[in-house]
Amino acid sequence: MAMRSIILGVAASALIAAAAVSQTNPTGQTSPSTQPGAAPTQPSSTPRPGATTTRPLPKLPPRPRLGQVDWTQVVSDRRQRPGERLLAAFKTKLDQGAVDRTRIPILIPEDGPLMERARFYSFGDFYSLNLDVPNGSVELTGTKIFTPAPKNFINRLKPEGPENLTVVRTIDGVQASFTRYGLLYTVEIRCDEPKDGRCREEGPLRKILEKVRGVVLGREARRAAGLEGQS
Amino acid sequence: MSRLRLLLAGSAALSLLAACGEGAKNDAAAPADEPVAATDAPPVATAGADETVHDGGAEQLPEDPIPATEGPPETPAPAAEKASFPHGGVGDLLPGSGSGYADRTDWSPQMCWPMEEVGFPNSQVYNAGGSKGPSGKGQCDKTNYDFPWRDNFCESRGASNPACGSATGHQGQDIRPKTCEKNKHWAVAAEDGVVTDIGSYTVTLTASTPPYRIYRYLHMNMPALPVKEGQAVKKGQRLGQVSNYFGSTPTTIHLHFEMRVAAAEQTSDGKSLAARAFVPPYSSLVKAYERKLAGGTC
Repeated sequence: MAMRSIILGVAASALIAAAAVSQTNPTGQTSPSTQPGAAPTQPSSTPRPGATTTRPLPKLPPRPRLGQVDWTQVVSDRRQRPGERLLAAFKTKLDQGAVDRTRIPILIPEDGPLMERARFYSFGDFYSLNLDVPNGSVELTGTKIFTPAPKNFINRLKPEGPENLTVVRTIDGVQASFTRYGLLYTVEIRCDEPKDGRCREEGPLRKILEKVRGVVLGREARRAAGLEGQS
Repeated sequence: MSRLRLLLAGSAALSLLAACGEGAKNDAAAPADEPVAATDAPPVATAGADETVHDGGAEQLPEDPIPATEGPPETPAPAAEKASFPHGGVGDLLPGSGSGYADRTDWSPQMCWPMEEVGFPNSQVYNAGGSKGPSGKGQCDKTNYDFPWRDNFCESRGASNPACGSATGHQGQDIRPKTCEKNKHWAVAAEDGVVTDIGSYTVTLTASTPPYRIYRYLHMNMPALPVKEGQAVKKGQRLGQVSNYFGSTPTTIHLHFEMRVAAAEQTSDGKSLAARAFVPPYSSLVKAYERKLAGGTC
């Protein structure tokens, strides 16, 4: 019994010591290091007044869910859209392997100069299409993976029209989100210079949005749409 | 006017930081795994300890209005648990800097702490050296490089953030590196992914697995990035050195770390709204740093 108490006592001391180490050495270092020429920035071991070290447990994020693609609408739009030849030309700008791996409709702007140096990155259910504009870039994304948001997380946005278009200003640009075919798509313009007017007003982005009408389907998407064998 | 002390071949000289333009863009046509030569890296620049940044302190442009701060966080503070290093609570912003978003969700439960070394999440605007910080102190003030950490998601800013009470606010978390030296301390990939965009002061990393989180790293040493657009990276891999690039006007030395997800919410009238949304990184950063302290690989 006495031995057990000693063992428990030693273990408790070790735990306390370990806790003390993690408290007094939060930089993860075993000894203080110095940076020659550096400003006096060494973190102190003592929390400042008001700092607390007890916190609530984080929650796991909500389980993502899959959106359902409205393939009927996709097929209908592709039939009604003029300029299929133009679309085919754009398609050759994209990495065909990446296009074929993409399981969702790929939206592209019907704008030759904008598509000139298109780079396409596919993650299957998500894609990113990166385009150049002078002193900036435009990124289009599409996804069928949604994360349920907490209450009042995004509903302060003011959605417009049947596609629930929302526009937000980011640090380096302007981002638009909208739903089409049951999926979420975004178009974002980013500028090299934060003061660039194209990235501080919605107009330039909305002009690009008006051109985002082309729909490209890769092999996986055509299969899902029941269009195997068609281009 | 903000000045930076450039250390050239061991001799100090004062100079304005050159604007970063098209030259900072990487060539997407280059092979994805081609290493970037470090020979054209600019000289290391160090902000003086007495330097005060008058540019707004972070991503806040002087002409952008900062909304008045409002009331307390919407979500009540829940029960407590033991944590391993000194840090303020989720949504616990500096007094007078806005109303935080007290969301305890760990939006990226497996992510790496996005710095190779220790870092100090805190405000760039309301701390020493910021445009609304205490007077007479520079950004290298020791209080900026110390614990406790401080959440600054939803800090008062002009940019949109629908999660914040005023629908505007800081869209990520600002993190100072280990010391007040730029172009020295590395930011690393939070998850496995692909670098899908590189701007003049931004790097976008898209995670390669669902829910395909988008991480944005701002203000790194852009001419010397070890990654290129289109490159696949592993979590913990170096993305760039923390610096102060922000177009033609440098900001404080810090990493702006941002996370976005495709969020969906049921509106009050029963409709579904979806948008690419900024999620608060603070809980994930705390947990990731705890894992690093406990011996994790990143």
